[in-house]
Amino acid sequence: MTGGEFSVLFGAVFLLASALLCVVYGVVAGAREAVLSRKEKEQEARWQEEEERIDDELTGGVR
Amino acid sequence: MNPVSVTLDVNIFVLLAVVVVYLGAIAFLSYWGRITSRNGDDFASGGRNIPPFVMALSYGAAFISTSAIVGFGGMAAGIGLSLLWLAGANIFFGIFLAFAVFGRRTRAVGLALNAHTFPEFLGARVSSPFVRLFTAAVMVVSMPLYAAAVLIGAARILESLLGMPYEWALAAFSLLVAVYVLVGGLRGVMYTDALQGTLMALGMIFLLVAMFVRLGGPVEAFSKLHAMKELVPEASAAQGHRGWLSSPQPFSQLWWVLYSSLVFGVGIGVLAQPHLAVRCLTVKSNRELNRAVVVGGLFILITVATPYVLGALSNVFFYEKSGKLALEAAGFNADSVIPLLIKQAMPGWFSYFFMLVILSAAISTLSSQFHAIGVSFGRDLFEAAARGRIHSRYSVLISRIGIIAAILLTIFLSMKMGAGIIARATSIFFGIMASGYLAPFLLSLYWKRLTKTGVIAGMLSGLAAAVIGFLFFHEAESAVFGLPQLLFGTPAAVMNSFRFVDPLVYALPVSAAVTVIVSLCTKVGNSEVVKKCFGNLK
Repeated sequence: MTGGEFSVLFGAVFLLASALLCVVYGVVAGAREAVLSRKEKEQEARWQEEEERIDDELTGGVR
Repeated sequence: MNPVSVTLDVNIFVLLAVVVVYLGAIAFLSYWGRITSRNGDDFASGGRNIPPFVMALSYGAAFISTSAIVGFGGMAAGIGLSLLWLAGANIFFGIFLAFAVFGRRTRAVGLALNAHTFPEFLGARVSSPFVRLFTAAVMVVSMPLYAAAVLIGAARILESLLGMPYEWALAAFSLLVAVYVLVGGLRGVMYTDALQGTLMALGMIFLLVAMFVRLGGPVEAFSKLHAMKELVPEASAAQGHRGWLSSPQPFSQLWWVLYSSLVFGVGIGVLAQPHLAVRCLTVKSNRELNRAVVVGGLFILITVATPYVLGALSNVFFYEKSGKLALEAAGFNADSVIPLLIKQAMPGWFSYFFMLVILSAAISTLSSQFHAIGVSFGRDLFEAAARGRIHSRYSVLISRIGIIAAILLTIFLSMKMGAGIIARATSIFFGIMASGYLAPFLLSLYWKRLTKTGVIAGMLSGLAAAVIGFLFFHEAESAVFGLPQLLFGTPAAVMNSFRFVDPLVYALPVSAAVTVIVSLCTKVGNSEVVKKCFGNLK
């Protein structure tokens, strides 16, 4: 394989790698968002429970 | 770009039916854009809640014009698969960096500044009405040149493929685009772009698969192309051509054209295209940007790499069929290669679909260009110059007047510009915008120390270096303008390999260095703006 042919091959690899990078980035970022979103919801639920528990303690269960 | 000389065998009634259905879909999407656009901000930037796949497809469709499919596809028939570097650069710089890296910053800073257009963004970032007005003026003056290049290409293709008079094709295209840009605003533009992007991607996938089937599969097709390297014409070999599966001779004429003008100029230059740079401002959050990276990357892979592969492989097809190389078969007109390939290698019904692909590629780019010019004219030039004396409810009206003015100017240029101007007009516009604005724009996203004087100096020095390069040193343009011929009796001021180097290669470093040095020597004008832009950024 000549240097010129290697350059074209490398160009094709660059092209496919760039496209793959976009896909992998999007998928990883999407998964990360999903995990963060789930954690946020869990945290929110925990705060809600904690708030209710404190309210119960302060009011003796009377609302 | 010269007119193509291929007329497709089409049934005019079937064609009319296909076009009517297509126009109906466009009209519906445009109307949808209108009913969901409530005010001037919606008209200018889509209300910042465009779905991510629409944004990515719209960006891609606006990015890829007729010249990418027909022009660059035909160029690949001559140069070969080295053009894959350009497709890779389009994805890496034009999608990955533009969305995943710079896009997040553009969004964050743009939202902090409440900017809706490129001139508004840059001007607000350094608190300079001059930067905004000057940038808008550069856009309004130079962008119709680029829009005219796309319009001429589209009209020439309609003229050649359907035998339609050039002036009619020009008028029909302009009217169609005018109606839906004026009606739907950016929302209408982006929804219709997304439809057109989908058609373009489907058309390209079919073309690639059909071509491989025709040539006996990918391995067989590339083996045949490899074996044809001995057939490179002498004139091309003298310019550095070493076969369709080989890069040109380093530092030869073809090598400089390929890597400095195409890969560097177009591949990287896209980051400073005003109608594309602010697309990231149209989505709701960074989450949408992440999704757009996937859609955009795959879209560009399909729509850009496919015509390049087809163009190169067309040599195998035409050589087997007629014993001629692709360019020779197309009468040495690169723009005729892809239409001729469609006519001779594809089933008849595909001609109709290809018409829609071409219509889509041209219209999607033109609509974004007209919208960007019109909004810059209305919002950045007119409203900014009036300094708040115009009520915001007139914002859309003024933008629409700007769009009509842009369309009329573009039609005028399209009638006046001669043959072979498309590639030059496109390269001049890309060169001018990237030389003057890429460095200040990218620095405005990351560098708190950037000053108003630095941006003005960087912008003017980059523009000046590019203009001097086009007028005197880059032979492709300087020979047309004729100044070196007048002064030195030669087509370029310097007649060594430097005449093939794209002006962006030296104008961009000049602009970057001047922006940085002048910023370091001057004071940051408004530290509140810097705090507002970077306060919430890590």
